[in-house]
Amino acid sequence: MTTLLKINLNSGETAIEKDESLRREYLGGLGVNTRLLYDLLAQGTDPLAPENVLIFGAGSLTGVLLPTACRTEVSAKSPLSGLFGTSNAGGEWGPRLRYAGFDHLVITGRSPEPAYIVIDNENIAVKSAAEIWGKDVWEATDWLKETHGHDFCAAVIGPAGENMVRFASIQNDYFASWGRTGMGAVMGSKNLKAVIVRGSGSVPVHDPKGLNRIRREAFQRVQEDPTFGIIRRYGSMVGSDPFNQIGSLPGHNFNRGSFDNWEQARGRKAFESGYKVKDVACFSCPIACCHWSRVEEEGPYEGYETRGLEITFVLEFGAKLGLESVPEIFQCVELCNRQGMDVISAAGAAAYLAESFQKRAVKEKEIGFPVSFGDFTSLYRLMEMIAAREGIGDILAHGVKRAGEMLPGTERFAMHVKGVEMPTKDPRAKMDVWALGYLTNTRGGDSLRTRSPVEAIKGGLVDHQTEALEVDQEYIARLDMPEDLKKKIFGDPPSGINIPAMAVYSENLITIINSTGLCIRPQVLRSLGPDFYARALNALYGYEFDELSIYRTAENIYSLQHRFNRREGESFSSYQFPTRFYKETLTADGCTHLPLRPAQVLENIRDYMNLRRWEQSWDGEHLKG
Amino acid sequence: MSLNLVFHPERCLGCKICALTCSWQNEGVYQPDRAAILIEVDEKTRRCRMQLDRNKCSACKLCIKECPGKALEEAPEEKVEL
Repeated sequence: MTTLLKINLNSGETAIEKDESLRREYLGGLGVNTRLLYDLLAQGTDPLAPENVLIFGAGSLTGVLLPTACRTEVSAKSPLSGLFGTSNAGGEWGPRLRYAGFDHLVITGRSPEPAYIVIDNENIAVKSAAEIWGKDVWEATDWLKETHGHDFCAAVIGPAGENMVRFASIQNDYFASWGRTGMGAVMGSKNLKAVIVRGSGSVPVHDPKGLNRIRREAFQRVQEDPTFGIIRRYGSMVGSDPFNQIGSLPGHNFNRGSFDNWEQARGRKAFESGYKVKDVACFSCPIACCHWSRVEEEGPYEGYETRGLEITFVLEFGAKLGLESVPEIFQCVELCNRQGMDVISAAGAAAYLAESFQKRAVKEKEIGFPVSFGDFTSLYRLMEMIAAREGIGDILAHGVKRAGEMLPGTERFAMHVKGVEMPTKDPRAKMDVWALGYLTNTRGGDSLRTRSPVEAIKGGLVDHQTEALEVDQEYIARLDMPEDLKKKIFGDPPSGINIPAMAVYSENLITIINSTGLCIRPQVLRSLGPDFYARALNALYGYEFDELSIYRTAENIYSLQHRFNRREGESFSSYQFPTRFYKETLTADGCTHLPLRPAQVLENIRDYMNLRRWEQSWDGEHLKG
Repeated sequence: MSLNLVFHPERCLGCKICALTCSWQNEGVYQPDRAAILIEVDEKTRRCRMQLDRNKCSACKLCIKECPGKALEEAPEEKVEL
């Protein structure tokens, strides 16, 4: 039984609905969000209109003791892409929602006055947010916890969300974020400042002994994986050095693939020896890929403490904006956390403007001051202006795609796919499964939802359709993955990774993970596959999934997101990188990466569409090339 | 019968796996508030505090065994404060 809490902010009316089949058919979390959003949202709805539907969906394993089973998906039509918007975060908010007795929170309408929602077990209230509207996320979270109790978990928007910056985030207890695709702007458009939740119940378990066995197996598998120790040690920063070594950094708005002094200043060892003081985990997570840091070096930030460092922070603020100083990178992160903005899109918007200014497409008088890569003061000021929608920040708040249309001559500096700013890595360095996902992902330019379970940053390409296999055959044999798919993707015997086929598999696997509420980030977690998730759901709920039926269910969820996007007018031509990637050579230290060949990218996209059986949805459009 | 625990806050990951294990073992539910071991995490500073409800604790020591940060250990007898 899935329990939905529906709140209409027009009237403050609440309703509780129970549904027998939703979880069985759509798994929970992302999957149920997808079904609800598809059904509840009328085609063509303005994402910032009261009619948009904002859904918080706890994963179906969230709240029980399995590694990382704590995550919650937030979905709505995205004000950034105009397509399926969705974002995922960990922490204790989702478990508490389930302990309060709810699986999904469905918010419609717009409150006449700023409001926040209190879910205190079965007691639901919509309260005036007059005291906290206008406050930043941390101030508002402090006030909510002091007013209602520190055992409440808080999902809060900042001024950027209130101002409907199209890439505003929802912050989850200070440091975690539902970051991508502008869910905070949707929340702001509803005059909704926060949703706080406290729950003291529990999730009923169908087969306690079965779940015990699965729990032991999962913890053992995760903690004995060869990557466990290094992920605990460096967290996501483990990837910082290899990205520089292969020259795939998004440096200076995707103009520099590497930096001479990257590892000394922004590498994983620099982080470990210079800043890291403690390992930090999400609820129910034994890996602890997050950390706590302290600045010891003399200067204005001495003694400053924060959560981090994350690879995304160094890639976005360190590479994309060219900031060398980790304490300055921390300041940018805090700005985004407090104002409630997606780190990737905020850095993307600032980088777009810095390049536009550098190449004389935007003049100083239009900005008010000169902006340049590596200059903390001007870039930080620019991001403040975005959150406040002040001056040119008002244009950047629309995201780089729209800004590129508003500021003549700057479109070529707008690095996005389907309106969503591109993160992490330059596809010219390696057009692999991960990079193909920038195009195929249903939420636009995205670095997280097409991640392969055998990903190797420094691994090579055999050809444009095949990644080199960097794991041995024993690893493939142990991989929790349907055997026929292994043969199709790796060959028989395994010899490489078919890129379009692995993109499909990775997206489906991550759909399962985001629906059940585990974490996708540490690679070890993607070694838990469809068989594990099927057995876990069966033990918890008494279902009868097997690895193939759960996989097919994920495939259907993904295709429903595609149908949502098609209904909103997504075209085949939007499966494109910005022109730069097809026209310009990427310079990196010691190597150059040639432009992508459009025909090769198109071939991978077409193969991907065929595998998804989506080609007919384009009515021949995809044959035009 | 209760445990004498030594808590190392600097090693505590804040994952609450100890509390989830405890509530499952002793109460049959996954609910950290019902555990004998309570971990409070200040999300803003990530400082962790531990409290043990000695009346609830069954001394099963699973919290020590399952802690992925090695933040818990049994106090040697002579160090127990009375």
